[in-house]
Amino acid sequence: MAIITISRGCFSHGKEVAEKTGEMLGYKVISRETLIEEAAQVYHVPEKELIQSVHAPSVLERFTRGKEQYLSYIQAMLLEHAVHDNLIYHGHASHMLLPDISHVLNVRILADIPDRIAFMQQSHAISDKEAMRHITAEDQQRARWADYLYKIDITDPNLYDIIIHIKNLNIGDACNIIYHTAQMDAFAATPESRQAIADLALRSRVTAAIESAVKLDMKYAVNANSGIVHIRTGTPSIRKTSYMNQNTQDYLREKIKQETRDEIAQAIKDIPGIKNVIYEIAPPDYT
Amino acid sequence: MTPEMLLTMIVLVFVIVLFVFEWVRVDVVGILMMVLLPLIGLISPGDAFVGLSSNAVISIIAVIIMGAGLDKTGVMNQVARPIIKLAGRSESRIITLIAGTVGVISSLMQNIGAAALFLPAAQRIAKRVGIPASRILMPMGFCAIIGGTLTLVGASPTILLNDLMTIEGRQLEPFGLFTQTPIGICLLITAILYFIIFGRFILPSGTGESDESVTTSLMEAYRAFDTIFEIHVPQGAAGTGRIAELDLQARYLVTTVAIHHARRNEKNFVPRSTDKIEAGDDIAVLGRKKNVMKMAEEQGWQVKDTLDVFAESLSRTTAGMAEVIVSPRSELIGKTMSETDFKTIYGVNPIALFKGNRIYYSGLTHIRLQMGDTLLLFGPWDRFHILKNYPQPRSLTFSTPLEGEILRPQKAKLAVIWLAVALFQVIFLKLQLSVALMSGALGMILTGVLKIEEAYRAVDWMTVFLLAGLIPLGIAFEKTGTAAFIAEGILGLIGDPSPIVLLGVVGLMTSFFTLVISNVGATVLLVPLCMNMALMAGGDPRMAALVVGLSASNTFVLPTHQVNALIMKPGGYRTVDYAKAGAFMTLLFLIVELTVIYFFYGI
Repeated sequence: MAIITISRGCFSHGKEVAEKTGEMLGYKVISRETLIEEAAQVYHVPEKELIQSVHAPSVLERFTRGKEQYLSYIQAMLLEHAVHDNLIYHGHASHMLLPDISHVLNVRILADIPDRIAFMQQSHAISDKEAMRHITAEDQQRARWADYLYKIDITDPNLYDIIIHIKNLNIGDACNIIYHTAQMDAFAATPESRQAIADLALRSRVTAAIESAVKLDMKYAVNANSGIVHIRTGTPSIRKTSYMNQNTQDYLREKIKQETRDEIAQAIKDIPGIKNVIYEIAPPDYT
Repeated sequence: MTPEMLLTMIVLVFVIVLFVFEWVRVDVVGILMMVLLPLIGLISPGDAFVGLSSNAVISIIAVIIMGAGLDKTGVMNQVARPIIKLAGRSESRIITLIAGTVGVISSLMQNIGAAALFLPAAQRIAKRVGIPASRILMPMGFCAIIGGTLTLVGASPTILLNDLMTIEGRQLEPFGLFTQTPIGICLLITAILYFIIFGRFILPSGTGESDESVTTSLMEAYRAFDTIFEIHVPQGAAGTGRIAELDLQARYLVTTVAIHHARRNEKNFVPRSTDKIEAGDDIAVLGRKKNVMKMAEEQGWQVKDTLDVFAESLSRTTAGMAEVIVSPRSELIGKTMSETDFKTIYGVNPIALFKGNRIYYSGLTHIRLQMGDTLLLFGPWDRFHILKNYPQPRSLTFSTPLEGEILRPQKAKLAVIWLAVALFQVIFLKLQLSVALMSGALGMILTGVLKIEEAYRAVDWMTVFLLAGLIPLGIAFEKTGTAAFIAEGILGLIGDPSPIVLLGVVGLMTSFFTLVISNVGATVLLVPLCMNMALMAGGDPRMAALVVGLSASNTFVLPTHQVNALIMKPGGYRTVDYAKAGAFMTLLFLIVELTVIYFFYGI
């Protein structure tokens, strides 16, 4: 009935909390890693690239749009699960993949640094100093990633419904809190919130299909509302290298606009749930 | 270094930054220069707008008008048709004929126009012969670009040269229209050979999007038509008589759109139910292939392979389909088409009627029309244009764009004559290019090949202002001595190269600059500089200018180049395909260009 997202830093017990709460509620639990595996299969891209996409971008990547592409695949996979409710997803900035849905309970799990170091050392034979360095670096790079993609500060408490600090509260307590909160009326799915998630799912399927097949080298926007998909995009500019009469200029503009539309239509034609598509395609400029 | 030089250099850096980052469009940079240079005192206010009256600008305007005249009269279609017929089935022959012709046409017309003219035919031929369209389209596109190097007016950068060739205050001898032609021909041959030999290795084998005209997409949308068929009615055929009696629409869902009455040798493009089909006649019909075949078999008719009698009059440039909607307040509302004598008044054939959620293919003329009913019409483009230009309230509103335009084939000879007159003046009377070309353009307007409004509308104002604005910058660059100053600095750094090495560097530099900034911009900046360098190194400054002008067309790797953008989707190319095929072409271009200049132009 609810969808729970658990956002956490590395080695902050997020995974344990998610799995245990999942058992208590009988919800399906999926992690970022599961989504990456699924997305790699569905969209035929290497897992390595997808893993990279959930890391902060390099200088070069800020100019290319690789990250957005891979992230759209991950989001589409998550929404395939999310449309069926009763789901716990844990991954960093996980709530950003399911924004503005009323039956989504956004949780952030915090743990103290010494606790995180100790937890890391259980699985890795490294010194305190190394563990500390690793954890700090990872936290910073996750913060940069969220800032780059969503322009948010992941430590901002306003982004979450509840924040649980694993210190005086143990993992079991955390699970209990989430268990009870998830069953409150506030997080019960309503027809409207289900529609909202269906719309979001359709939007991300369309986005992922466009990213996968069309590779528009420019910003575009997709919106879905009860099966009606609205796609707004520009087209790449044309370098005028010699004179052209006006008729030819208009002809080329129309042609490229039409080709872009046809290409998008071809990419999304098999997506279930589309009732109608409205295209808003700006013709190319001459430069 | 004088303060003027410093100021010029600041302006140059500013211009390069604007070109690279494209904060404003290139032609706006041109206008900016026309205003900025006199304001800061680098040129006199009187010189600010000399670009607008330059040889280059007037030549471009004249060439565009003449090109529009040739388009308007369908001359180019007539050139294209026999060449397409000759193409045959061999890949190398198709490439040679199509790419070669496109190259030659681009020498005097806009390169993209030539490519666009052959694009549908190239796609059709590829499909028919069963070779991927990608193998034909890129050679065609590249040859269109190279075609621009065949004559001085083939591309914007070379048109500029004569206006920029001033050095140390003296005007150099201008280039003629065909000075560069031998280089262009060698480049064209090289490109064709390159694709014939290496095409299969460097070009992808995918087929891109098929040639989707509005007419074909309408046929697909209505699902009852495959294409237009021409049928001959032999002597003794069973199917003769009035169209109404033959009842073809109801029996086969086939609509007759034209009849050639053999006895009267007369073509009827709006056949009515009372018209007769007789032995010896040819008819054109629209319908599904299997229905048309069945009809021909039962009626004893012969379906032809291609359009023959109607090849000219029903070709896609002269006739096609449009979808129209019965407008609010239309006089057609509440009447049937036969009551309003629709075919006679409008001169087009109704093919299907979309009413409510049903589509009618037969008996259309007896159905009462309502507002919002949709009609699929077939007819000549000029009739559609007349219909579209009816004053408001129009009875029919067009829901699809009209593909064709009103052609004036009767003026085709005049168009060719005026082009010949212009060329004659250039070649034999050695008249200045701008005057000769403009007289040809004027001749076309005076003799009604195209109207003056059409001529004005055709002009590419972006290119006009780009050239006109940058010419003063080139002049200031040279006049202030800045070009000489920088040239000296560069030569001081690289030593004293031999002229051919220098030209090689010039070609390489221009090819690189053209990829980063506008080719006209690159020409304006590099011509004064390279002429000075050539002069100091003991070479011919004119040849340096020529290398810059030609190398500015060396832009094959850019998928955003106007011609490459045209063929990208139809050829199913990706950016990497241009990089792959274009990089080698770029290199070949430079080698051939420099070799020909070295051996035949006496550097």
